[in-house]
Amino acid sequence: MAGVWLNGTEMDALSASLPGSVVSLDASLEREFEQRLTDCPTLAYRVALGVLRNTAEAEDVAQEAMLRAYRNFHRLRDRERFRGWLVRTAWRLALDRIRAAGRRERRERAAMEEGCESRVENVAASWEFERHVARALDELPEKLRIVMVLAAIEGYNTREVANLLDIPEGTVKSRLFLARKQLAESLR
Amino acid sequence: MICEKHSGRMADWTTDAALGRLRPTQEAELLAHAGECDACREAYRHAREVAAAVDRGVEALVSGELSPFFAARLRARVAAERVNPRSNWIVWAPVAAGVLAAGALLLIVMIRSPQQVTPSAALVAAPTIPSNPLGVAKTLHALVPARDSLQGAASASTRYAKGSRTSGTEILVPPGQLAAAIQLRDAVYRGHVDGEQLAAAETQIAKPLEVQPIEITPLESSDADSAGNEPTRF
Repeated sequence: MAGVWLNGTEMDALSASLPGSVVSLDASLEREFEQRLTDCPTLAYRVALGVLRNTAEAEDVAQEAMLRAYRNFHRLRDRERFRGWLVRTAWRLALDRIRAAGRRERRERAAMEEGCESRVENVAASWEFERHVARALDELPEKLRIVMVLAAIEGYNTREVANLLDIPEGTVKSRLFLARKQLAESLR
Repeated sequence: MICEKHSGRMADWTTDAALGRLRPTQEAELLAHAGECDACREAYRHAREVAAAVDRGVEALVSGELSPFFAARLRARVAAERVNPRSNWIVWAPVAAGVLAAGALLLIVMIRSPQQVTPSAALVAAPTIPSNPLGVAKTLHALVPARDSLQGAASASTRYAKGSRTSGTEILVPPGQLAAAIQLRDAVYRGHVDGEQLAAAETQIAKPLEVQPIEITPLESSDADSAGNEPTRF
């Protein structure tokens, strides 16, 4: 009869020697994902924070984004683009969370902000300015907003933002300029 | 104080210059004018301050560190994902479908196999058989070991699915199928494939074949004609 009988030990030994076999590939993927765990969650967290501006919610989004990344890690062809994928996923999840919050929560938030405005004299000027910036940032078109948020994250220049979003660097520069101009004009 | 001469254009230019996007010729014109005009000089200074404040404000919005429990929580969720994979069956469904389809194909081949009846009866019962019976025999010979290996893999998979990965369990690996066998074994071992379903497929394959008896009417003897003459022999 054609074929050969192999037990578990023999198959383990053979699978380790096979190039690109499932077992060794899985192990290497696990190792790669562990490496991503050390540096990428902060990026996802800050992107979500740029949308949600709530640390607990931003952490939830970062958790979900990383978990989705784990589920789809074997399908990501280009490992170098993992961070770009993570940024887009975190961004979408954060926007979804805001949209899912619905009109009721927005009303509550607006009421809370009005309450804050009544105490504005007691609030530090920098905090007040930050709140204005946040409001102006929310009003930016999404394409401008994500560029502005990524460029504001420490250590990311226009080239890295272009890599993350997979768009030309010139496009990043022009969008960044438009975003900053709109923000400046709304805050002037 | 208002600059009457350049009120509209200079306002745009001061913002663009503050953001570093004004053309060199325009910037030179703006700076030359700002040297003479207090209003435009003040507007330019204010625009630069606002631009810097915008950058600082957005940076403050996205600054912050994860809580120290984030990594532990994420690792726990990933570990839970490993133990109880979510919708991984969708990924492995094609593999299982292929196994089941191969089983069904083998069942059909075995039912229609000429090896189940006597050669002479096969000629009578299956007049549409290909003119190359040797080729059919070769195909069957190639498929039968595959069926055995599937049974072996399925039964071994069932055992793996129940949690035992002993070195004593053996799987028949057909030539050139080592990678596929390893993939299937590890999928079952990791819980990505339901061993019970493979076992069910195995029972389908192992189901005894029902061959309907064929009644064959004896052919008339041609050894001697009615006149009693012996046939010519060469």
